[in-house]
Amino acid sequence: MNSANLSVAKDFTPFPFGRTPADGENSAERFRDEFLLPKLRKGEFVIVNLDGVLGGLSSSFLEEVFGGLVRKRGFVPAQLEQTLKITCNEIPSLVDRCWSYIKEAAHG
Amino acid sequence: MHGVSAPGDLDGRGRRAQYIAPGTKEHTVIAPAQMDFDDNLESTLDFLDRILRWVLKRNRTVYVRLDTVTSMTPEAGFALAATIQRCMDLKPNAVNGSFPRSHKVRRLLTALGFSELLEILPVPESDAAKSKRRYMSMVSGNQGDTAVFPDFIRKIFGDVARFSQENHFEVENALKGGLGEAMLNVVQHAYNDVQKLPFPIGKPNRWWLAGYRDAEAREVCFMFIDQGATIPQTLPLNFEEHVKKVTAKVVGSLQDTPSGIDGELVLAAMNIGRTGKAQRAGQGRGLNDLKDFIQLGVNADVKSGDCDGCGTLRILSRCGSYLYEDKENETCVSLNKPLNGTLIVWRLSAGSAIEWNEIDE
Repeated sequence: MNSANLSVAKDFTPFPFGRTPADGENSAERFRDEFLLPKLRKGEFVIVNLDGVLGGLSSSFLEEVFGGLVRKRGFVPAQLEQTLKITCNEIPSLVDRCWSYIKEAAHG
Repeated sequence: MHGVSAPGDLDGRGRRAQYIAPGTKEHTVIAPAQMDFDDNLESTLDFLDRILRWVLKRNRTVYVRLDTVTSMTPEAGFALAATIQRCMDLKPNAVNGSFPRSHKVRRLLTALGFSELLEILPVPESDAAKSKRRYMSMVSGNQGDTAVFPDFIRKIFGDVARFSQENHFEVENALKGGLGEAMLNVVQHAYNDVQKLPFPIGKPNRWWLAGYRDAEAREVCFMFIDQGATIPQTLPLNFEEHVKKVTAKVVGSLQDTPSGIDGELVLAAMNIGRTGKAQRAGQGRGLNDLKDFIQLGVNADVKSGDCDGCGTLRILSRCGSYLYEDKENETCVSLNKPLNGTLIVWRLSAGSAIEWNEIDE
């Protein structure tokens, strides 16, 4: 399995905001569907790095990115555990939070 | 506030603006002597409400008398400036007024950017420089833009304050995340049903941001306000809240405000899964994020054994007043007078989450 690195700050924007494109162009949905999803669908092992974001990482953004993979794009947590790694050296607690969104989304 | 009294002309009426046509009937709105959201909360809210009512509902030119003001807190000055700017967005020449006699109040308004924002005469520079607090002039926008946060925070902190090394990414992210959720609330909810608001809006999705540092008190403060639909208006009610609201309507005088349960509704909105479009799975976490900056600041102090009311989150939204200090100190009150919008104030003082340099400001 090929692996791919994806940095929110470097590959998307240092200023993420909101859930959907209606909230703004740097939305979670755009990051998820245009940056993360194509790599997952190609069968790559994706390492998402959350470091370096300057505008703040809010719960809404993170929930929509990671919880949204389950709620809206049909992934299941067990599948993501095999294909997705989330890293954040600056705020390690965010990694657990993202995984909790994935698991909560699976429980509806 | 074009044509306000000149700084030296503080007789309470001052020079008249030239744009006012002869015979135009002005309505005078007199500010309370003390403007704050504490002991004088309802008189301050009433004053702000009367400005909006006369300008935007009764379509009158208003002369705002600020010469009566002897004290004003930053959040009251901030709300006043946003209120007047809303009026001027819709009716550019409808607000006129006088400067406060109090130099301290004049310094506050100038430092907040009242002069530049509203294009009124500033107080003299030398006078403004005497303020011990360092304010960041108000920033306003009408879309989600987290790019303003780093520079804004940097200017608030200056060379004097910085996030503590131990967990500075976490604390900084909590502050930016809280500001971002406040902004998202504006973009997603606050200006959706504008026809239900008591007064017309100025620019859609408009928000304002301001703040200050006080090196002497070792305090930083961030303030955010919008003037759209409030939290009590946009919160999906549960069965019990519906019953209470209907009861309040039957028993009392409910039109749109006050509802009598606004305080409870703001408190409820702070719980995960209750806000805005919370019925949609995964949503409704945002307002809870507002607490994180204070929680982390307070927790940092608990670690060092030095925490005594060092952090507060205050929210005023319509008639709901909410105060958060820590998990054991979260209170709400329903007021008789509304704020026509939502004001959020984060204040962190004397904490170990923020380090201060010994610089004499």
